[in-house]
Amino acid sequence: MSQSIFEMRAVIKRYGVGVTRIEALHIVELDAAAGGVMVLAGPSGSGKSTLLHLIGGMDRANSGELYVAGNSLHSLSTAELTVFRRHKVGFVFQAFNLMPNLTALENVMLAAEFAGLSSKEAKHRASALLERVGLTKRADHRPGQLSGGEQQRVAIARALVNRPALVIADEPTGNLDSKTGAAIIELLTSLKGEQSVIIASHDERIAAAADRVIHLADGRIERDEVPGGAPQKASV
Amino acid sequence: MPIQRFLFRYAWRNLWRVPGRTLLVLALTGPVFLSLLLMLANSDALEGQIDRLESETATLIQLRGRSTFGHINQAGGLNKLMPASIESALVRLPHVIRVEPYLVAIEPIAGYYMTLHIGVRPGDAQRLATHGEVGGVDLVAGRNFTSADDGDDVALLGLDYARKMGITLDNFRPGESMFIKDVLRDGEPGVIKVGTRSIGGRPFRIVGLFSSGYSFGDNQMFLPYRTFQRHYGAEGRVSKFFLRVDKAVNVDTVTAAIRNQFPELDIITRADGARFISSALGTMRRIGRIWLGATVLLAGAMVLFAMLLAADERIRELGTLKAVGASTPNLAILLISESMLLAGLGATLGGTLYAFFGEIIGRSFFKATFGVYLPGQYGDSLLDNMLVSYSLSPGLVIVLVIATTLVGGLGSLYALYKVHRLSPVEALRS
Repeated sequence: MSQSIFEMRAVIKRYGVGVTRIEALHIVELDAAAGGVMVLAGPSGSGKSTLLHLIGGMDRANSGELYVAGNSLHSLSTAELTVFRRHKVGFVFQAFNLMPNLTALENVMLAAEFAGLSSKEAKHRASALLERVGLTKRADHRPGQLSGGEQQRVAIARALVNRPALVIADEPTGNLDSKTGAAIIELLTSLKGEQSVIIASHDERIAAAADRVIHLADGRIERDEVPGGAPQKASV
Repeated sequence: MPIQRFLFRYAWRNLWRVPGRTLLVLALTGPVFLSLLLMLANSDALEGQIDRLESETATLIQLRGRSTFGHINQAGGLNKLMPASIESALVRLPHVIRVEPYLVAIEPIAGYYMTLHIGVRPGDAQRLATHGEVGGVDLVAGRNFTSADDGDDVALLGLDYARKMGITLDNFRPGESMFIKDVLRDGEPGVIKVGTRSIGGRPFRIVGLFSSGYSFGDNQMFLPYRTFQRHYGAEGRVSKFFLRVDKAVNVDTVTAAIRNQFPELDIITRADGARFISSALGTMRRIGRIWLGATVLLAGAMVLFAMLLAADERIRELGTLKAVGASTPNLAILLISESMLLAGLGATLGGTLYAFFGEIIGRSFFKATFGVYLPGQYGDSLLDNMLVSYSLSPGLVIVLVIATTLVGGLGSLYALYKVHRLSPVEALRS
């Protein structure tokens, strides 16, 4: 039995207060094996991003237990969550979220410098990753000088620079054309084995390339399936 | 410290994301820092005046005939003045280390102006007839009296007095002659027409020009003691005696001894004479300090506003930085760096303006600030006469650095508050 990258039990996330309070997510139980590619699918408002944010340590659940890469996130302090995000998770956003005043190389280096790497080591790692994503020649360009696909590849390089156990991507192809999106899907799925990857997406091509697809609806798991195989678990 | 260097570079670039706003903030904060420097330069000069006043007056006793100001040509004339013969008794008093006799005449000149002519021994302090306890004036051109001048028709002229005679620092030639009506011998009020130098009387050679600290002081003239006596027929009489006591704690003892020996004299000590000036200058010192605080707050508010806009505009970006591993201290370093750089640029601009234009606008600034609170006779010439230096001294640079730190710190407060409360998820949703 493979080791889990995350496990969650009875996790509930609510937003708002009083009469406006809504339950955005309610997961009775969910886990994922390390090294795989998991896709969170579902319509807008189904809880995909909320689940990603909880797993990524960017937000806290109101109740329940959540273990990610050996850390019990429900009991970490704010500062410990920062350290967790820095070393254990790499984020890829739909809108790329690169720093506009930094070059591609500096954007990748930034995350490494936050993790305490020396400038030399950070630059070495960033250069190697930009080469891996095919952007060596664009290393000194700023985001505004790069295409959407190139920006997303820089964002993926940034997510990988601290060699995290888990890469989380929220609609990574949402702002890209179909051809560019396909290249990004290929890049993300190529991480399989090295890193665990969790992607929230509407893109069926991503679901097809995943090891496992969790369908969410109204904050609950509706279906848990392996593409090409039978559903593994009933919705809760 | 790689991350700090990285964040500092990033902060510098962020400053120029909206160049118009940064330039506007600099255009507003630069003059504020300039005003800070001007106020400091003027305050330093005022502090000097206060220090001089205090050190000069603490051990000084002034004696005058009962209920007189000591003018030889006042009502009652010479008879109301002190006899010169008491000098030998004063010199013998315990703790008295120096006695300086002093003669003064008041002279009307054209219009409603008055001047004061003063006789002092060469080598004695050239005290103004008004606020003389402050001490000697500053010689700004020519030379001072020597012992050889005593009895000669030579004079030291205040700058304003000289100006009325058409003499300025630019056209002054030492030894230039000036005519003064022989007041007492002619038996009529002396009148010197402003702008002319040849209205009867005796010619005096102006050997030097002095600056005093205020307008009325600069309308006075010093003559050697014997010259004055001869000119005004004041032999054997003294308007005032200035006694220097060895230590401030002995002033009361000396005062008691004088009161005992010469009960007919008025005794003026620091507590009586200098309190007014000290209080006036002290008020200005407080104004200066309030100004310093106000400039820091004003510049801080400007930087704060700019940082407030920057933090609000970049909230998503700050959230992303948190998401990829920036701690709150990391973001604080970034924002404080931006705020400090903005304040530092404003201070640099203010310092540059000060270095190039401080001399030119310092006078106007003085009049617009301290001048408002000064009595009329001080307003126009106090700054000239204090000879304020508007050079960017190391001390001013240090104050500028401290002010920059305060302004930068103050300016970053809102952004720091924002970052402290920032949830990466909420920031990314914004």
